[in-house]
Amino acid sequence: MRALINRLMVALVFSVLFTNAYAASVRIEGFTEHTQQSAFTQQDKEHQVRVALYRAITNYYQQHNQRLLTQLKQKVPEEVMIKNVLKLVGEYDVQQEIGDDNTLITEVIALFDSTGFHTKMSNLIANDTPSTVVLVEFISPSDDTLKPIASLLDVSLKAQLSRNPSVNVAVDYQELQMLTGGAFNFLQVRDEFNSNGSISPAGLNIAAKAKAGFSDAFSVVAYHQLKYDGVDDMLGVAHQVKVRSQVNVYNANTGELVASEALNNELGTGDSIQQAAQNGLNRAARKLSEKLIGIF
Amino acid sequence: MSLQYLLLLISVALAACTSTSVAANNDAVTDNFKELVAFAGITFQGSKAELASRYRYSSQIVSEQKLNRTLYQSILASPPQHIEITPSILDKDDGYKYAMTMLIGNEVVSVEESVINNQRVFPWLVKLSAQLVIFDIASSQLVASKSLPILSCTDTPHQYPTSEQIKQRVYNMLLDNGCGKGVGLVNLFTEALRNIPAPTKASLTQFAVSDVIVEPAALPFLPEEFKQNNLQVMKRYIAHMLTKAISDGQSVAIQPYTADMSVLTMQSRFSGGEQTYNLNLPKPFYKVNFRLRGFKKMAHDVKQHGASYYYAVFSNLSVVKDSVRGEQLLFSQPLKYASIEVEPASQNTVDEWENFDKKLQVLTVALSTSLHNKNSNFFKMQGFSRAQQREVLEQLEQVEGAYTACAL
Repeated sequence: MRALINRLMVALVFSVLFTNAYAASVRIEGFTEHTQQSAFTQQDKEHQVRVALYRAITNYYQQHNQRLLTQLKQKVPEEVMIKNVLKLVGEYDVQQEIGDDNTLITEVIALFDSTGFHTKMSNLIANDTPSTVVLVEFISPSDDTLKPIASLLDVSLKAQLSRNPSVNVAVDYQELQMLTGGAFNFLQVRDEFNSNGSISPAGLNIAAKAKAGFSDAFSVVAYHQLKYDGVDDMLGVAHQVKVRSQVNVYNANTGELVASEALNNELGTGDSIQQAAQNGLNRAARKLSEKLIGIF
Repeated sequence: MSLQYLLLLISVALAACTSTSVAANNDAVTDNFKELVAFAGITFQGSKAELASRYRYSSQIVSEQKLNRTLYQSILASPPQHIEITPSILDKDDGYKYAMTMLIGNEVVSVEESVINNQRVFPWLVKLSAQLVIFDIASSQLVASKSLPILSCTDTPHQYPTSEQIKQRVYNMLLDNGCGKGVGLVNLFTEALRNIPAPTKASLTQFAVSDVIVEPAALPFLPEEFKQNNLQVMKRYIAHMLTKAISDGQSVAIQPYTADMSVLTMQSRFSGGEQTYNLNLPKPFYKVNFRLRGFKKMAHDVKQHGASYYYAVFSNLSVVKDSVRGEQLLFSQPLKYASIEVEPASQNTVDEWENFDKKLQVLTVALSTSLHNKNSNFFKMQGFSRAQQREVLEQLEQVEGAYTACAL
């Protein structure tokens, strides 16, 4: 009966996982080489397409998010993924050929909704009790062009992290200051960042523990460096802003650094400098939040 | 509700969902999937320092007249059928990896002086060659290359042509009125791009022109601009021609010789990943080494009204397999090419380099085409003995195996 219930759980997970249509897609590639003595049936060929698509997805996560790949392999059995993989991909292209030694070579290129998948994976691996995350996010423009608009930019990691149902993101700094009796003071933290370019997480950890009560508590510090990269000289129509981001995640109870992720080469483009910077920040926030799946 | 009943309901719901989705996705296996390819505009083969000397007119015009925009507008008016082009910066993390460019590989401007009917004339020639290149920035390989027709315009005025006249001619050849024929590289490129097939997946094994040596015997015939940077300009010129010829002739995965300005421009159309600019190309599996041994001009027929000469170029080509097991020599032979050029007596000056360059270009193409046909004039021209021929054919078989392994 326990095995039956486990199978039911996986089935329920997949029904949740694969119902949404794909929205923002990435391009993935995979291939298989399958040799057998008997002739290949249509069923064999279709199965190899599904295996190749599954490998395309795992290849993508191998390159971009190994933590999520580990979670995926732990939470969803490979045969279940292969069976259902067609529901994960959008448009796809298949090339199949049979080699001299009766090897069926299957190559696929597909569009894959990574963002939707990340959200669903977050749901899948969500803890029963959501973790509390105290987040501070800083922007440092590295040139004079961006300094006047820095205060007009919105940081968006909170919105991205909040899509994860296992996370409660706390950014009401006045409330946190009150909860900690002043041990956490955002203005002091900001001054510390402005002087040193980095901050000590001690105050944040106190705030996270105070806010979390008995649930897991984390402190997250994100830095974004912005650099104006001029107008795209190819067509001369878009401003470009380069973004380098780093996010550090601390276990507030132990003070231990549990994850540190960086983006070195993000680019925002837009008709105005502000729009380009905002687009770059939004892109960086999306990628950082994807990298943090499975931590909370 | 019992657990068994709940299970049954879910199974039925899932089965219905699965069959619908599979059917829908089977429909998705169509030809509609179009690769998004980053537009990298017009680029030049070689380093930035070579622009002013090797592409004196075209590089100025591309920059001053903003020809990248003109080219993009031309592509929009007649879009490619099998790929989609975007002027936006693409994100490597989203899986994009292809960039395309119109790569200008040669600009020749030659002015001579002659006497025709007792009048001094100044025949001048402008020649532009370019190719369509699609590059995989993830694996640093050329995945498609198509040479555009070489545009060559001549004129015979009584005055020495001014720099402005030459510039106007180059402009016309780039745009749409080369030699007054209503054709220019921009529209030739757009037409070629319209029909270019979708880029194939880059191969795991690839060719690369690895080493080019220019021997001292060749130096007296080289123009000064090709001797710059300790002959690096000439080496890159030869390597580029060989790379293009192998890509065109054999449709194999091949790396560029160096990450030159063209490659860097294509890489700069991408964000994401660890870095945008990748100057380190992967180690090729098959290395092509070329040694330019020299040039020779020999009289063929000398008469009062003019003379004809053999222009010959001598080389040595080797192909080496470089695997984890070590290097294995697949091919190594001296190879040459010669043909006749006529020089009328009325012509006071002769651009010998232009003639040698033509032979060099034919040789580099023949190495990956005619050489593989023992009945071709090029093969016969080598004058192999019977024993040598057997050895050459055996070696060529190994090279052909390598081409097959790297086929796109």
